[in-house]
Amino acid sequence: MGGWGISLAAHDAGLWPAHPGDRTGWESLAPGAGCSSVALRWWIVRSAKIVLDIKFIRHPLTTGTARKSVVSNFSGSRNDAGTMNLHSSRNNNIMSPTTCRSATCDVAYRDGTPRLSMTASSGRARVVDGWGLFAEKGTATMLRKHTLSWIALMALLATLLAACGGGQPTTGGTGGSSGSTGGQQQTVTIRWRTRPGDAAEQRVYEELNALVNEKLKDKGITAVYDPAPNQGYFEKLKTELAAGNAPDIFWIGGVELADFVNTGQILDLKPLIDADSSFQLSNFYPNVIEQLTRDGKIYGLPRDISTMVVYYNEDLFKAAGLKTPKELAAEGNWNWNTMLEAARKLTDPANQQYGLGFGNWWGPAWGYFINAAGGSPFTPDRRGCALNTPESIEGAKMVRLLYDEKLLPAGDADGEALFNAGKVAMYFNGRWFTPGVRTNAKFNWDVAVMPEGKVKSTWLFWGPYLVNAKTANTQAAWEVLKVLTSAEATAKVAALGTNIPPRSDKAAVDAFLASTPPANNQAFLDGIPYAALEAPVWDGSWADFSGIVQSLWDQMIAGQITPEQFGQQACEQTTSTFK
Amino acid sequence: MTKQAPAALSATPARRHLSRRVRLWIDAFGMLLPTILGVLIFFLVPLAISFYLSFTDARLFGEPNLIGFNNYQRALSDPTFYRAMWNTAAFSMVTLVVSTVPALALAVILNERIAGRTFFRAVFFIPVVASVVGVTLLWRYLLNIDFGFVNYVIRLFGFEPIPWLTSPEWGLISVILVFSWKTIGYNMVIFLAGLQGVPPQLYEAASPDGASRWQQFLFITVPMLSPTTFFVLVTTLINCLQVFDVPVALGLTRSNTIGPADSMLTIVPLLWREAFIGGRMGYASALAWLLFVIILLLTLIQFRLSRRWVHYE
Amino acid sequence: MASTILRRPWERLLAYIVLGITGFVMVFPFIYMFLSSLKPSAEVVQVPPTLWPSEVRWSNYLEVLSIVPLGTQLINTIIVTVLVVLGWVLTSVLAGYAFARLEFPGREWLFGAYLATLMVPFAVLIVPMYRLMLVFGWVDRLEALIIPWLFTAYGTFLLRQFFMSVPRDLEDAALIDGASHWGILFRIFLPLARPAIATLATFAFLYAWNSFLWPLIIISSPARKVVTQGLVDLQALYAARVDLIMAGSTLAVLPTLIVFLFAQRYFIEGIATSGLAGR
Repeated sequence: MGGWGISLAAHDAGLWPAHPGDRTGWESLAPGAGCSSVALRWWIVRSAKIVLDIKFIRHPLTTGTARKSVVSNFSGSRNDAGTMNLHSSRNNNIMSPTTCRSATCDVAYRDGTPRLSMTASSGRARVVDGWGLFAEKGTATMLRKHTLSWIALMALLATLLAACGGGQPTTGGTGGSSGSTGGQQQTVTIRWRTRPGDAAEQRVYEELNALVNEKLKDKGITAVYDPAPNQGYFEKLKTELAAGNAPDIFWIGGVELADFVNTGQILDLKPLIDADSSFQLSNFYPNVIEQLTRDGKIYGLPRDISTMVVYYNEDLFKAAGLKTPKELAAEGNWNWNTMLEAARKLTDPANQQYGLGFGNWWGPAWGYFINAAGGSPFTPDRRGCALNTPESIEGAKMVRLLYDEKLLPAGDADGEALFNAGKVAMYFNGRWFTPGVRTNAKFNWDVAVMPEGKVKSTWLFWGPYLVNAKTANTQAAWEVLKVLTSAEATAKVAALGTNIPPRSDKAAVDAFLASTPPANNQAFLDGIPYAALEAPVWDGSWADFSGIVQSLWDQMIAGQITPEQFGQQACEQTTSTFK
Repeated sequence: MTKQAPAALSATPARRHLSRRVRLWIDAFGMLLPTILGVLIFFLVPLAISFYLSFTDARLFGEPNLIGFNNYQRALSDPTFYRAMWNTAAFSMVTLVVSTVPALALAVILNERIAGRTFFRAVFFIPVVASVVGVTLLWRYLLNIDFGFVNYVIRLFGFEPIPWLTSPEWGLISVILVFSWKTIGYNMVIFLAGLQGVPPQLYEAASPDGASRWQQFLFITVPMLSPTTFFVLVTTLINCLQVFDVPVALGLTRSNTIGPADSMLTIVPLLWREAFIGGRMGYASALAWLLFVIILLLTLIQFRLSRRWVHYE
Repeated sequence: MASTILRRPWERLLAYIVLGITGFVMVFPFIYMFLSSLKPSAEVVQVPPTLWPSEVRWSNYLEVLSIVPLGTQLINTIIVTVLVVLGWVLTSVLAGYAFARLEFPGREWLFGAYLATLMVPFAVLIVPMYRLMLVFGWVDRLEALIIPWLFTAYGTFLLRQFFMSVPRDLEDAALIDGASHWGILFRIFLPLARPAIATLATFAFLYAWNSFLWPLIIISSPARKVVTQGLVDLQALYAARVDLIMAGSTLAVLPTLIVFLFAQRYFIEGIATSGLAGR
C-alpha cells in the first residue's frame, strides 16, 4: 500500500459476478492468518486519514438502464476512541460514529437509513446486507445505491482488504460471518424488523430481542431489533430488498405476502424446517401455514393472528331480558336472524342506543357479510371478482338492511366510542379492540363468535415473519426466527392484549386464555378453523381492489346505488386490478 | 443614481467610481446569496427533477425509467383523477362565493363607526390563526352524525340529522363549510383594509346629490374595492385548488379513501396518496404538472378578466 | 371610514345581531372543544350533549400526552416555527434591500424571476423535494422542516416595496460619510422596517405552525413529528376517544391563540397590508 492516499479505480466491469444473487461469484480471499483482522487492527492503532478516488459503476442488472460512471471522492478518518468518521465530498453526509471492532462494522447512518452491519472477516469483503465488494490489488468495483456514503464505507473496507494482497480464493457463500477463523468465536448479527404501533408495543419487541440474545448467546448470534415506522413500511422494505440492504427477518401483513414473494427475495424455509428435528411445524395453525406455502415452498412463519368476534354489552342484554350471543351460541342458535332480532330490540333511538356496530371497512363490513352469506369477494382461484354473484349480493343486502333500519351508528369509528360508552350492544371487531375496552368500559362485557349467516364465517387476520433470501447466514436467521415464533415469545406479544399466538400448542394457548377479560377468550379460538384468511392476491393488487370496492360500498350503504349495482359495478371497475 | 462624489476628494475619480461599483456588486451578491442558493437548491432543481420524473415510472425509492407520456395518458383515462378534478372544481367554485360574500358583508358592517369593532374583528380572526388540523378534528367531532353538536341543534329544530361526514353527497359540502369558516375572517380583514382605503370625500360628494346608500355602495364602494376583491378572489382560488389539510384531516379513512366514496378527494390529496401511499412518484409528478398548468391558465384568465372590471385608482 | 350605511337604530341592532351570531359561530367551537376535553370519555359521545363537564378531568391531558408525544411535538413545532420566522425575516431583509437599493446589472430580471416562483404550486415540488431530502440525508429530520423553508419570494417582495418607499437622501448622506451598504441596511433601514418585519413574521408564524403536508411526508418518527401530525395520529389510533382528541386539539390550538392575543394588532394589520399589495 503506497502510503495513506490510495487510488482505486474500477476498470473492468467484468469483474462482477454474473448475477447479484449468484453466490459462486462471491469468491473471497482466504483469511490467511487473519489477514483482514491484521489490517483492521493496524487500522485501529493508527489514527489516520485516507483519501480514496473511486469510480463506481451502477450495476447493469439492477436497473436495466445504460451504465453510468460517476467519480466521487471520499475520505475517512479514525480517531483513537475506536470510532470512524467518513465523509463524502459529494453530499457531506457524515456517518458517525462507526464502531469497528475486529472484523465487524456496525454503522449507524445519519441519513435515516437503518443500521447496516458489515462483516469483512474472510478476506475479500462480503457485506452482510448484500452489498458487494470486489477488491484486488488496489482495484475496487462496487454496486452503487443512491446513498453515496455507503460506498465510502465499502471503499474503506476495500482498502483494508486490498492490503492483504493475494490470498488463495475460496468460495465464501455464507460470507465471513460463519467462518470460524482460528478457533476464535465470531458473532453473527441478525437484524429483524416489525412495525410497532406505539411505544408499549415497541418495548415488547425490545424485550423479545433481549430474549433472543439471551437464548442464542452460546451460538454466537446477536439479534438487532430495527423497528420501522408505519408510513411507507412495505414500500421501503421492497426497495431495500431490491437494493440488498433489507433486514434479515421482517414482519409483513398477510395480504402483502404476494408482493414480497414475487420479488424473489424471500427465503424458502422448507429445507431448514425439514432439517431441524427440534422444530414442529404442526404447532402452528395449519390454515395459516397453508397461506404461506406455495409450490411446496414455505415462505415464512406467522408472528400472530387475530380473529373477529362479537364484543357485547352484557348489562344491556340482561336489562332487556335477552339471551346473550354467548348463550345463543352455546344453544347453536346464534345466527343472522337472532342477531337481527336482538339488534332491533336493543336499538332505541330516543335513548341513543344501537343494537349493533362495526367499522366501515372490508373486515367487518363487506368482507364478513359477503363471506357469511356464502359469497366471496374473489373467484375461487382469486383471479377475478365475485362480488356480483347472488350470494355476495345477499350479503350486501343484509348490510343495507342494517343501515336502513338504523340499527348501527352511521359513523365509521363511532361504534367503538359508543360501545365503550355503553351505547352499543354488539360490536364486531378483532382482538386489538380488547385493550381499549378493558380501560374504558364501565359495564360487564364479553365476547362471542360471529353470528352464522348462510354459512359460518369470521376473519383471521395474521402477519408472518419472512426471511430475506440474501441473509448472510441462513442458519443463524433460522435460529432467531425460531425464538421469535416460540410459544414463549408469542405469548409475550399476546400479553399486550392486541393479538393471539399463532400456535396451537398448550403453552401458547394457555397463556392466551389466561389474558382476561374477556372471560370467553375461547371464542377467538373457536372461529379459527372456519375463518376466511386475510390473504394475498397473487395475481392482482389487493390495495387497488379494496379501494375501488370500498368507494362503491360507501355509495351502497348511503343508498345511492342498490346492492345489485354495487356487485355489478365493483366487478366491472376492478377488472384492471387483476393481472 | 447616487450623486457624484466631488472631484476634489479623489485624485482618480473614474477608478474610485469603478471600485465603488464593484463593491456594490459584491454587496448585492452577498445579500442575495442565501436567497439565490435557496431558490436554486430548493426550487429550481426540484422543479427540473419533477418535470423529469413526470415522464418516468419512478417509485418511492430506486431508479426511475423514462416512459414518455404514459403518466399523462394514464391521468387522462383515470376515473379517480376526474373525480378529484370535479371535486376540486366544485369545491373551488362554491368556496369562492361562500368565503368571500359573507366576508365582504361583515367588513362593510365593521367599517361603520360602531362600538366593539376591534373586538369583533379579533373574534372573526380567531379561526384563521388556529391550527388547521386542530380545528378540522374539532369539526369532525361537531359534524359527527351520531353525537355531533351540529346535528344535535338540527334535531332540536325537528329536522333529520345530516350525514355530514358519512354520506358521499355531503362530504364535499362539509369541506367547503370548514374551509370557509376558517377563511372568512382572513378575507374580511383584507376587505376591511380595502374599505378603509376608500376616500371619504367620495361619499361626501355623493350624498348631497341624493344618491341612496345602496347606490353609494354599488357605485362608489364596489368599484373602489375592485382591486381588493380581485386580490381576494385570486388568492382564494389558488388556495382552493391546492387544498389539502381540510379534506385529509376531515375525511381520511383507514381504507385510505378521502371521505366516504372519495367524496372529499381533491387533487393534492390524490397526488399525496399516489406518491406516498401508492408509491407512484412518477404518476404523482405528472398530476402535479397538470395542476400547475390548470392554476396557471386560471390565473391568466382571471388577470385578463380583471382588466374589464378592476378599477385601479 | 365614514358611517354611510347604518343610519337608523334598528339597522344598528340588526348589525349587532349579525355580528353576534357570526361571532358565536366563530368562537363557540373552541369553547366546546375545551369543555369536551375535560369530560369523561362516555360523556363526549352522549346525546343530548352536555355543555359543562359533569366532572372536570384534567387527567385527559396527562393521558393524551402519554399516548402520543404531543409535548415533544409541540417543542418541535416551536423550534421549527421560530427558525423559519427568523429565516424568512433575515433572507427577506437582505434580498429586499438588494432588490430595492442596489443597482446591479440584471436586477429587474432577477426580481421578476424570483416573483414568478410564487406561481408554482407546492404540489409540483413535493416528490422531487422528497428525493432531494433522501440525498441530503434529511428524511425524518427536523432540518427538512427548516432549511428549505427559510426563503420566501413573498417576504422579499414585501420588504422591497417597503424599502423603496424610504427616501434616498438618508442613505446618500450615509454613503458619503463612508458607510457601507451593510451598515446602511442594518443601522438605518432595519429599524425603519419594523412594521413590515412584524407583518412578515406573523405570516411566517402562521405558515410554519400550520404546515401539515410536508411534515406528513418527510417525518415518520413520533419524537420528531410536529403537532399537526401528532393530532392526525391521535385521530387514527384513538378514534374512539373523542375526549382525548379534543384535549390534543386544544393543546395544538392554544399556543397560537395566546400568541394571537398578544400580537393581535400585527396579525390583523399584517394581513390587511398584504391585501393592499393587490392594489
